[in-house]
Amino acid sequence: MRVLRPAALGRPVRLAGVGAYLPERVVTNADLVAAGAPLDADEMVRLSGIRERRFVAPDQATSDLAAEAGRRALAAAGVSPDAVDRLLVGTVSPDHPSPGAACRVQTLLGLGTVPSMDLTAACSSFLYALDAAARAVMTGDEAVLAVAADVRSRFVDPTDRATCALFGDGAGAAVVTPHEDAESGLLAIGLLADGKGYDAVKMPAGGSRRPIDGDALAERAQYVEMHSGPQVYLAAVEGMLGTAKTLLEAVDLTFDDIAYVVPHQPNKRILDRMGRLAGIPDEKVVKVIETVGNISGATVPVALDHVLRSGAVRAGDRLLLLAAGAGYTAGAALLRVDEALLATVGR
Amino acid sequence: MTQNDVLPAVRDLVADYAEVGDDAAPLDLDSLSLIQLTEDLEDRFGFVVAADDLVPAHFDSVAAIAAFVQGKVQR
Repeated sequence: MRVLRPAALGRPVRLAGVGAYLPERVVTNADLVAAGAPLDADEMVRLSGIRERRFVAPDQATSDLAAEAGRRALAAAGVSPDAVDRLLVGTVSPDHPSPGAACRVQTLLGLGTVPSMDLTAACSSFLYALDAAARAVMTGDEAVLAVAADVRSRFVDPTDRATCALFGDGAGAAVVTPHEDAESGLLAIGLLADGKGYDAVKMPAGGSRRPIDGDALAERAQYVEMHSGPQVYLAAVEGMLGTAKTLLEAVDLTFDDIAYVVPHQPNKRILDRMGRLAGIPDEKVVKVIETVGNISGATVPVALDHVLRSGAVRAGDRLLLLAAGAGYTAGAALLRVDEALLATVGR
Repeated sequence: MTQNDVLPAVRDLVADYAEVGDDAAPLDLDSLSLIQLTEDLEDRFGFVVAADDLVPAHFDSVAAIAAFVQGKVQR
């Protein structure tokens, strides 16, 4: 994994503001049971650590969530829509297979005609978008809006024991800009993909390999499938810890230097295992899974927004963002929080 | 650590999650049990189970698990 260090290349970048949006509808485990889930509410907690999640309203789709998160990030950063040079939307659940959700988000936010595109890296989408945003800023953009948004509720089989309780809907965003200080902001970021996990978590139908037809619907192949859950569980931990260790070695730091780890959150047990194997104290791992579930790529920016607004973070703290997802994909990013970012969240 | 040491310990750990009889008999472990068992094995024997380790050949019987553990602890 090659680690990008913007300041080392003479082009430091920072997060000028973050934002998150969760749809209003709270869906509890008991609600899922009432809708036909094949396991009880306590079992859902025991298996995943998830008690509730948010689902979109009937008239909402991914672009709506992405736009609201983006609007909040821009407001926090004090960046007007006409100052945005580029829009990146990480998602596996665009409003339509084509065009990308980003073009609708662009319109909703009034971003003019700036380049706008979707990125698909499953649950690692935010870090992939952040990496692309940093590179765009390093090569001349003044402000890039990086969003991750997903509506997983429309792609989960409510009768599938393996997945029915795991997923929720939501969005998170960050405004990425040039920086004056080489010692703070986005200090390092690294990504990887390992296609050996291509079949582990996927939606079999709805793409060019297998369009949705009557047979696909009969097989419920339009929904997300997870084969070999235990193997996926271990692979997710390996993805996050592997990228974390490579990145930390590249910047000559250890987990002891990190104030908070902000991980993707597919399952609370995964977070527990990650902490145990890496020796990370539980209180340093930012957890939102109990109330939002797995929001795919949006989990990391939602958790980042949460910890920044919590009051727990101090200027100079190092945050380690980690993700792992279907594909497999994974990534890690090191953020050193500056005073200005804290000021955007009233801290 | 010999196979004679490993096998009874594995049998005890597996018994928390599945009916244990003939060591070569197929095990009926659900997903959560398999995850918990891997972590019990890690704690007991001091190694880390990798995603690539989690294949049926390593976990489909007490004997298979014991052989897998033996291979891990000898490395």
